[in-house]
Amino acid sequence: MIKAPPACTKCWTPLSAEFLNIEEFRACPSCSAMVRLDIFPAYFREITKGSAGEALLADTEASCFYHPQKRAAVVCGECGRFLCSLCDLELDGKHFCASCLETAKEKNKIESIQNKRQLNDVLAFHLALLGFIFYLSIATAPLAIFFAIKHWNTPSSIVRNPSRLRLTAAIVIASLQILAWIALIGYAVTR
Amino acid sequence: MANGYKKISGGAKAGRLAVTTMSLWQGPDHLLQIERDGYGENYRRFFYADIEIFTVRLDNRRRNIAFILGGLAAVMLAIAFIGFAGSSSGGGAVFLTFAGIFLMPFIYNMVRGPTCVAHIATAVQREQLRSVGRLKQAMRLLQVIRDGANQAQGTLAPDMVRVKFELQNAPPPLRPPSFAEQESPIVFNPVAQAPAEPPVEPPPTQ
Repeated sequence: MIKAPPACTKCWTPLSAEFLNIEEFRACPSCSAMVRLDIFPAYFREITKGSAGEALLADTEASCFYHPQKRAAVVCGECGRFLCSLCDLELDGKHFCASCLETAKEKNKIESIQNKRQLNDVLAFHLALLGFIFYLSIATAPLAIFFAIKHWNTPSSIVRNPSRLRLTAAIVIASLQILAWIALIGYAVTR
Repeated sequence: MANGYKKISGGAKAGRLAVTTMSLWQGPDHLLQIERDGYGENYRRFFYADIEIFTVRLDNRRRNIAFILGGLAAVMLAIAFIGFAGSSSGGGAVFLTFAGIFLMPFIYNMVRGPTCVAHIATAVQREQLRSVGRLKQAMRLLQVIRDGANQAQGTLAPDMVRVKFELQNAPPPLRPPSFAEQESPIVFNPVAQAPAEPPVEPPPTQ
């Protein structure tokens, strides 16, 4: 496979070897933008073809669950199905079949392929803080407690250490707001 | 270092309404780009073993921002000076304050250094790193990528890089025509197909 040559990122003109790894900026011959290119050994790496799986030679051999004509090479680490080398998906040292990998991705079981997360702890904390504005706390305080309890075990941002500090703070603040409302209503009723 | 990640750059606004925030984090074996909109985060990973090209291009944003902020500050200063000169010290003080409001981000913009656009390319994608907008950040990121790539990919001598690049991007060599192409009547062969010239008759002798 022929790889696209490095190019100026303004006019996309391919750049020559004179621009490579020179530790300084050089003007693009086409648009004169000052460009600096750093190329790494991976650019020169041949893309290896994936294995298509070996054909089954004898009926006594184990066959792939998805390709009965191909010899089983590994076992899926989740469901135990036999897989040929074409179906084998290796990730973090474990072998998966396509459906188990898809399920694991949907249920956020494998952190290394997670590409989306909801910041429920931040949402609960902001809901609790929002209660300090006017009289919104009558609605936001119960919501904040609900979110905090519902997502108590849900992981937050992938770059933050696991901590329930925001959830705890949201519950405490929202509880205080609810107590304040109860006291206010009680005072109004008794008067 | 939070959960194994170290922040490289962040806070850049993206999208038409500038609601989305972009940030870049250094991981153990990859770079992590986070796109945060509201209460959701989207992640994109660039593994050091797969990074092929890192491109940095200088642009004019710093100059443009300096012109705008500096121009506004100069106008406010001029008005303040006119106010002070015309014994309107109250108005002069107000415009002097406005000038200071524009001067602070102007100085901040100049101190942060040149602006740039950074791209990272792997075998299957080329992505602009929107959170890297200043040259200092880009050079810091380059060092991170170099360290990671040296560990994951190994190193190549600079001369070898150029030789391999030229070999990989050289035009395909010319090949002689095959036997089938030579025998094919469709192929134009100017020597074989040239009309035979009539024989030249010798001049008559007297």
